Amino acid sequence: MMDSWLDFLLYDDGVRVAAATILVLVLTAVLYLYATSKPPRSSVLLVGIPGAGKTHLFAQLVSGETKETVTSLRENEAIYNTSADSSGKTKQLSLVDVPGSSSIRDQILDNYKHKAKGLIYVIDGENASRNIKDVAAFLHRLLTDDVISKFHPDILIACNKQDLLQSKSKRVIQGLLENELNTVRKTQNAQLSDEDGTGDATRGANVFLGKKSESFKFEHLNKFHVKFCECSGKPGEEKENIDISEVKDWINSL
Amino acid sequence: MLDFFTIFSKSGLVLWYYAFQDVKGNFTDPVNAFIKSVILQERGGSAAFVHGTVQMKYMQDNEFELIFVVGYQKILTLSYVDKLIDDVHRSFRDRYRQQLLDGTLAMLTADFDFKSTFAHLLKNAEHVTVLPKQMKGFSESKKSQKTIESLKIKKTEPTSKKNDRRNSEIEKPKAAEVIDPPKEEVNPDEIARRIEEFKRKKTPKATKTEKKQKKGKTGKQMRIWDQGGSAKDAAVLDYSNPNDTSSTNGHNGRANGGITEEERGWIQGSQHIQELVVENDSEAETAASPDVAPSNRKKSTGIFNLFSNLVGSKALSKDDLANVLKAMSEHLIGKNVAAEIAEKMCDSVSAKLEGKVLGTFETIASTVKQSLQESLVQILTPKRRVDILRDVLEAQRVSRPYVIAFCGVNGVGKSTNLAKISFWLMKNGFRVLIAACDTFRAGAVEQLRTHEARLNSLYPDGDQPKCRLYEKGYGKDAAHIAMQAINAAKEQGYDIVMIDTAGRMQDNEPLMRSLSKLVTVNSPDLVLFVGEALVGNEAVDQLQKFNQALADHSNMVNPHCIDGIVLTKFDTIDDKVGAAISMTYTTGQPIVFVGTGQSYPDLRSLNPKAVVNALLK
Repeated sequence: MMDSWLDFLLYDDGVRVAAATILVLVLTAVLYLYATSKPPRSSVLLVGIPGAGKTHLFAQLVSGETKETVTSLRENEAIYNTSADSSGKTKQLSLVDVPGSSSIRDQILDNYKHKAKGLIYVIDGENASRNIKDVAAFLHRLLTDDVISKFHPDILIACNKQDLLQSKSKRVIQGLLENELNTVRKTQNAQLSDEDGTGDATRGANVFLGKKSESFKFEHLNKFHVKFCECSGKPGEEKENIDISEVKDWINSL
Repeated sequence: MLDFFTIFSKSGLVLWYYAFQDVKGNFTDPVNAFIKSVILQERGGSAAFVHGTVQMKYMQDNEFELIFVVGYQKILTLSYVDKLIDDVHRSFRDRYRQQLLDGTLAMLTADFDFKSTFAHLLKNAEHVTVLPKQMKGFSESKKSQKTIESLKIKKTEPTSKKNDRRNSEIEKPKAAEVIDPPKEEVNPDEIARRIEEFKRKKTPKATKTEKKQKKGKTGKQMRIWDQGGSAKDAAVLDYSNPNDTSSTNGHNGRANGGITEEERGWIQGSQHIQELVVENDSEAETAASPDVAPSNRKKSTGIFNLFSNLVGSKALSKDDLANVLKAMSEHLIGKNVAAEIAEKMCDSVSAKLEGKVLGTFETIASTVKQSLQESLVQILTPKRRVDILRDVLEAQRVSRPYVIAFCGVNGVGKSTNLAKISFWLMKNGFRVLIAACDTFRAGAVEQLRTHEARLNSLYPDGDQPKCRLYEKGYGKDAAHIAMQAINAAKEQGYDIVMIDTAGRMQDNEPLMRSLSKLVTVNSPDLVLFVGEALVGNEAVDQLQKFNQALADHSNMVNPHCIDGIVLTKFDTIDDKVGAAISMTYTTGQPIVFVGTGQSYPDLRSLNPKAVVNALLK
C-alpha cells in the first residue's frame, strides 16, 4: 500500500507540483510569523523637552558613567538589568532615551510607543517655572496620545538637576504642572480634532484629562499611575544624598 | 589655535573632546546651537557654521553615526582645519572601530584615550604649511608658445579664403535644388484655367455680399453697451428692491449682515481646528505609513541576520546617491517645491547618508526615500510650541490684548484669513478687535466692515463675545492706526487685536520700511506672513526679503521677524504641496494655519505626515 502511494506521489506531475507549493506556502507562513512576532512590552522610555538631562541620566543608569552630552539627534537604546528582586530574578528591560527636539521626537516616539512598559518624563528642576508651558504641552500630548492611552504605561516624573541651587522640589513642580495642565487641556482640545477620523491617527484630542468640574490633579487620572521623584546626575553642594536611586527603584518595581 | 574639537555620537553622547586649556563649558553652547540650526534644520549641505565669534567646521560619519566638530575663532583663517578633520576622522575610526560597532553600552564604557594621537595629528597639520600658489612665469604661459607669424593679421586675409570655400560649398547644394524641380510642360489650356482661378480668388467680396443679400434686409443693428443707456432705460436698470428697508450701501437686500441660513450653521461647528487632509488615493495609506516607517528602521530579524553575515554589506558612495537624489529632487520640483530648496534638501540628505552601510535587504532608493521623508517631516514639524489660545489666555491674565499682525504680498488672502481666524477665536469665546491698517487699497475698509457685520451676526452682542472694526479711513499712517487700535482694545477689554496690513511687493523699499515701522512701534505678539500655496520659487524670495526688511529697518538689537506662516488657497493645489516646504525651510518658522477655502470654517492646522506623504507619492 505504501509503495503504491509513493509511486502515485512521485509519478504524478500535478500532485507533485501541488505538494511543492503547499510546502513552500507553509514555510513562508512560518517565516512570516517568526519575523513579525511582536515582542512583549519591555521598554522604558526617557522623554522630556530638550535640556532636561535625559541623555545624561541614560548614561548613568546604563553604565554608571558620567559623560558630557550634547543635544541628541537620535535615540539611545541599551539593555538595562534590574537588580534582583525578592525571588532573586533579574529582568531585562530596554532603556530608550528619546531626543527632546520637537521636530524629531514625534517620529522617533512613534517607533517605541507601543513597546513602552514605563515612561520616565524628565524635567529640568532649575528651569521648571520658565519652561512650564512647553513641559506641560508635551506631557499633555503624551497623556492624550492614542497608543499611549491604550497601553497606559506607568509614568514617573523625574525632577532632575536637583544638585543645582535654584532647582525646585517635586512638590513645587507638581503644583506648577497641575496648574498649567488645567489650562492646557482646554486649549489643546480646541486646537486639533480628528472627529471625522481623517486626521493624524495618534492625536486623541477628544480626551479631556482629569475631571471637568474640578481643576486638574494627577490623582484624577484613572488610567495612568503617575509618580514623582527627585534625582540628580551630579553630586551637588547642598542636597548631597540625592542621586538616581529613586529612579532605579521605580524601574525595578515595574 | 583651536578653541575646541569634539567627537560625539548622533545620539548625544560626547565620546571625546579637546578644549583649549580644558575649559569645558566652552564647547557645549556653540555645539548645541550648531546642532539646532544646521542638522535639525536640514542645512547639512554646507560644512561651516558661525556662532558668535566661533567658526565651526564639521564632518559627519554616517557609518558609525558620529559627528566631528572643530571650532576656532572666526578672525583666524586656519588653512589646515579641513585636513585635520579628515585625519582625525580616519584615525579615530580605525582605532576604535570595534567599540563603535559594539553599540551604545560599549560606547559608554569605553575609554577613548585619543589625546596623544590628536596632539600628534594637530602638530602635523599645523606644520604642513600650504604654500600660496606661485604665479606662472611668461615662459610657461600659452602665449609664449605661439609663433609671431600666427599672431599677425595679414591684409590678404587667409581666413576669408576659408569663408569663400565654405560659401561655395553651401551654394552648390542650393543650385542643385534650383535645378531639381522638373520642368513642366506649358499647356495653354492649363494657363487659361489658372488665370480663371486667380481672378476668382481675387474677388471674394462679390460672393460674400451676395450671401448677405440673400438673407434679407437686416440693416445695421445698434450696439447695446452694458454701462451705457439713457433715461428711457431707467426702469429696466433699477435693481433696488422696493420692499427692502434694512439694506445699506453695498448690501443687496440680504438681511442680518448678509448671512444665509446655511452659513448660520457654522456656529454649530466644533471649536477645534481640524487637521489638514491632503488629497490621497487611499486614506488608509496615511494611517498605515507611520507603521511602515518604523518597521524599516527596526533591525532585521534573526534569520535574516544570519544571511547578512554571509553577504557583504556595501557602504553608500556619493555617486550611488547622486542618481537617486537627482530623481528625487526633480520629483520634488514637480510638486512645486522651490528649485533651490529641493537642491539643498537633497544635499543635506546626501551628507547624512554618505558612507552609511546598507542592510542586506535595503535598496539605495528605499533608504534615500526613507531619509528624505524623515527630513521633510522634520522640517514641517514646529520647532517651538504653537498654541495661540494658551498665549492669548496668558495675555488676558496680565490684562493686555494679544496682538496679531498679518503681512504678505498682494492678493494672497490676508483679509479673508484674518476673518477666518477671528471666527475661530470668537468661537473659543474671545473678543476680537480688527484694526484696518490697509489704508491704501480701495474697498479694504469696507471689506473688513462686511466681515465684522457677518461675524457679529453669527455671534450676537447680547450673550456672546463680539467683534469690532477699528478704522480711520484711507490715506493715514498704518502704524499710528495700529497703535490707537491697541490702546482702544486695552481700554474696552478686547482680548485680541488683528492688524490687517496692505499687500506689498517684497522689492518695494518704502513699503517694506513702513511695515517694519508698524512692527517695531507696536511690537505685536505674533507676526504672521500670509503666503499662498500656489506660489513656486517666488516663496523663497518673498520670505527672505520680508524677513530681511523686518530685521534691517527695525533699529533694534533683537528685531522682531516673522513668527509664523499662514498658508492659503490650499484647496486649489491638489497634491502639489511643495510651497509648504519652501516656506518653512526658508524661515524655520512653523505653518500655523492653513486656509482651505473662502468661508469661515475653512481653516485647518498642518499635519506634517499627510503633507509629506502627498509630496513623496
